[in-house]
Amino acid sequence: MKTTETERATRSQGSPRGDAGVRLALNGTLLLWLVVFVVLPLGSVLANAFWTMDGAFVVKDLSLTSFSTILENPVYGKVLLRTLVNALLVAFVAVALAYPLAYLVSRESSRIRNRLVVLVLLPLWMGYLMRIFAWQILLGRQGIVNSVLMWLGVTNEPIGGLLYGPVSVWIALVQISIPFVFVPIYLSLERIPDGIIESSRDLGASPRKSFTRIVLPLSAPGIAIGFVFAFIQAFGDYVTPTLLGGSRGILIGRVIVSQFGIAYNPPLGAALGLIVLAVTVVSVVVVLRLGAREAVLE
Amino acid sequence: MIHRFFRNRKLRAVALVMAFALVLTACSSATESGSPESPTGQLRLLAWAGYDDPSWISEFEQQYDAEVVTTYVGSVDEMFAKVRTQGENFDIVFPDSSSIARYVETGLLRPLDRSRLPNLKNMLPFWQNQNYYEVGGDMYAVPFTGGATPIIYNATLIPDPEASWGLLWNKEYAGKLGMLDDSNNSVVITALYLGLDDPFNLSDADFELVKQSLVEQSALIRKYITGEDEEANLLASGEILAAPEIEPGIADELNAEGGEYVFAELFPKEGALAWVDNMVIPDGSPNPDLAYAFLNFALTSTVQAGLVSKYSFLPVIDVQAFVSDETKAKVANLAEFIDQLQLLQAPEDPERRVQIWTEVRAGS
Amino acid sequence: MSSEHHSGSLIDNASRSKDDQSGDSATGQSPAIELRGLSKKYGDLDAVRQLELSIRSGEFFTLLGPSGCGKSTTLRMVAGLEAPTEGQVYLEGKDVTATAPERRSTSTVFQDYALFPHLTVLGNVLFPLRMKRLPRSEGLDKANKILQLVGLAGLEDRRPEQLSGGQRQRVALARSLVWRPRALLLDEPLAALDFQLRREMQDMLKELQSEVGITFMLVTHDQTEAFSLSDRIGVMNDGRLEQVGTPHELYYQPRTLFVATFLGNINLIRGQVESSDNDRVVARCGPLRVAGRSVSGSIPPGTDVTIGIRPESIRQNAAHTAAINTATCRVLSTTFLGSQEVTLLEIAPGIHWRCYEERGRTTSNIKGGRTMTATWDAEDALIFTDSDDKKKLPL
Repeated sequence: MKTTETERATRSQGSPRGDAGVRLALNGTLLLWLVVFVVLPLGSVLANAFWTMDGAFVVKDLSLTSFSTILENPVYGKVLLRTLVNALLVAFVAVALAYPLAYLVSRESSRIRNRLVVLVLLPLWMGYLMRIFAWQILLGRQGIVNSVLMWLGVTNEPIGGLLYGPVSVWIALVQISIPFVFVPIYLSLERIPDGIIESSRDLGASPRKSFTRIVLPLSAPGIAIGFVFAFIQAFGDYVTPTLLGGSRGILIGRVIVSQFGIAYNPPLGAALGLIVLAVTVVSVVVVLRLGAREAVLE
Repeated sequence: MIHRFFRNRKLRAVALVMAFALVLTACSSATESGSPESPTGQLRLLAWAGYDDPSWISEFEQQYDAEVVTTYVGSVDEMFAKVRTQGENFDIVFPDSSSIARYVETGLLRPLDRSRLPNLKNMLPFWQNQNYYEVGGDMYAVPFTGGATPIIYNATLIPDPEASWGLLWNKEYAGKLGMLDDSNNSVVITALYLGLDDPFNLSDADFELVKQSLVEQSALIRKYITGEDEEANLLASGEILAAPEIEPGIADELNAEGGEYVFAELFPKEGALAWVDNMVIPDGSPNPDLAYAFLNFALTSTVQAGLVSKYSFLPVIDVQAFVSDETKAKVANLAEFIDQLQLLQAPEDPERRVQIWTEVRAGS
Repeated sequence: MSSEHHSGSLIDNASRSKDDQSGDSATGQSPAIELRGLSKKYGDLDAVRQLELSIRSGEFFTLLGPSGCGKSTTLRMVAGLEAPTEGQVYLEGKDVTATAPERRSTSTVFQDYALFPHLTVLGNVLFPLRMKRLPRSEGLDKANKILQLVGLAGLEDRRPEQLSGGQRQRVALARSLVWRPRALLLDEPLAALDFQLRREMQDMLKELQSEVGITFMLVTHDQTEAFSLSDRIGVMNDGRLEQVGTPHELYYQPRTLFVATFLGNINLIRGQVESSDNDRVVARCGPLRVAGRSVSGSIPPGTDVTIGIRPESIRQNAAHTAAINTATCRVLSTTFLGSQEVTLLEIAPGIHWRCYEERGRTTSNIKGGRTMTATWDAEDALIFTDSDDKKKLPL
């Protein structure tokens, strides 16, 4: 009897201490995770951006050389602006395509719904590069699209502009983004109970009004998150524009990469990267603010 | 330089698997050096995958009762960084010709004693006459192997082109030409095409000319090429008809696949680009005697004939007598154009070249 | 109709409605809600079968039934949220079967309230007025009045998630009433509330109904709720309307065994008809003889029947010696429930009946294990034939 009591005592004492240990371990893991995946990479970019080059060497003195290079040469501003416009365009198109899809899927019965979601997400199982190569096969001079167009007699000569130009980059970026845009929009739509939509109709809203006054505002956070996903993806991607882009109209990702390769000017690359990061953060904050103005469902 | 890691498709797969396994073992076991006359022990290489091909490494290991351990690198920068931070871990490193100056300036290399390199006499005159491996009168590097960047073209649709870089500026093939997506190679090629004095030391006026010419060319370019597979696909599918051959052997591979078109290589009269990888001994090398032994060994037909027949690389000694009949023709061909090769050197201002390239690619 | 638009307050509206109602009965005007042969099928499943129902203007009508009986589906067809497979819905004499919900004069209060989470309390209440393009100032006026009426004044700027269950319920009511629908449809509106709150809301519903005077159609599975609120109740089972009547009628004159068992407790015993004189039937149930009242007229002798007697109709009477409507039984247990005492009796082996007795301060002298004599009146013994439950009853 005595032993059980002492056991119980130690156990009751031990358990909160055990909880604290677990909590400490969890917090430690979180901290480590943050340091390894956020603080270190970001810190390295930040530090590099304010260093400078002396010949082939990085000089670790505080300097604004890289930023003044960027400001002095209009080419960087031009490329940044083009990348920004490009990313906005891709994000808009991706949302415009994903929204109706998500809406239709979200109003299906749950069995069909889950199958359709898997179907929409299917492209994710295909490697990123595989999808880019698929577009090359589809859009090339001897590609499927051109073959069909020529067979239909729409054109006699294969259309070269389909591939290796802005169009193919847009198509691929939109296609890559759609699952990522679809998911948050779908989740926000799926969470809207049928009852709320019915209730709006019951209270006098036409189907159109019910959509604009109830469904759209309630899915705004999903739209915002989806838009941000597509935007970030399109803004930062350099592989797609490199593999599918044309001879002109380089985007910022490629410029940054070249600073770390042959140019060996990490500070300039980092400074450009920092600007990209800043643009991204600002866009994300703005878009999410807009989205959050409409309250999320409980 | 083009992504070095993607030099050869076969190497890539090997490298990925091996790199991991070997990085783990690379930093183990201590080294014992033998006497200068018969050096032995461990030889540590910092190399591109494939440079330690077992066909010659095992022979070296037997001959010297040595153990060769290789650390693989994926990029020029990685190689430089490794030597800078842990040079004492390597006996031989394989930098390219344009990087030698950078290594020497940083004090990472020890000068080589020519008297201990009797096999230097095996080198073809072209390599003996180079001076990039000498800095301040001292020799720092021995050429290991190289590769040229000729023009690869669709011989079915362009039957008999003039041997000139002008093919890549020919308006007749507008929208069907490829160019390398890389500032240095592009600027050097353009400088060669324009006949400028020294493609690695351009004046302001030269830069202006090069830029104009590149902008002009960009209107004719279908795709700027970033890798070997991409170039092969672009050519095979007829998207492009001509481009600088990013890696040796693409034409051979495509022809072997036997597609719709026949492909050929062309060495422009203005000079073809060539890269060269060299052997250097880091200042802190733990086993320099064995390193010297390897330098001499690398200048024998065992290694050089292997590099030619396995990877279609350029040999630095005459290997005519040691290769198969099939490869012989290729080697004979090499002898013909070797004097036209323009070895890549350190450019005067890489930043400026990137700047120009960015402006060209940004378009208007 | 335009006069309705300008009528000052809900109170005016209410009195007018009351007048209308009396007018209805006098002039025989169209019922507020009328269902004709209404059916709904989901694939092979008959959710609602051939419903015929007429609800008077100003009436508080309740559809009562177990879950899955089709009562909610019926309500949704009235609201226009569900299209009938067959039959018609008439609102004030107009066939609205094909009319979209937003163009019907009904308003629904949903079980989960279906408040708009992105709008404030005021925003929710203003919503129907905005949809009807009412000028903002006028809308604010009406919204404030109705919020006052349901006791939500001061909470206009809260979001639904900041409200308690009862408050949400009031918002839903206010939102549905503010645009003055001709009929309010309530789909289990109190099911999500706890007992105390449910009682309060029931009182409020009743008050509101007399205040605004419009037709209320409630759907519930809760018999007490239905009884306390309704003028009339329709009991539904398996897609059919079993019986329509006042709570009193349904309780004391159930037409089917289902209605009898669904509303309150009833003691059952099986038997065989010995003789029948119109609805006066005598049946034998093992050792017992029961004289009772058939719910469907005379029954041929020999027919199998079920006899039901409400627990409160059973009296203990030791002196009673008649051979009919008397059972000598064993007392199994007694339970004191405050105002009532429940006695569990064994009438025959395996047949247990309940008996309720009103109690004052005197304690019962019935104890478990004792034997007693139970009696009841023939008027209180209801006799159902097996076919009574399968046939559709005419209204």
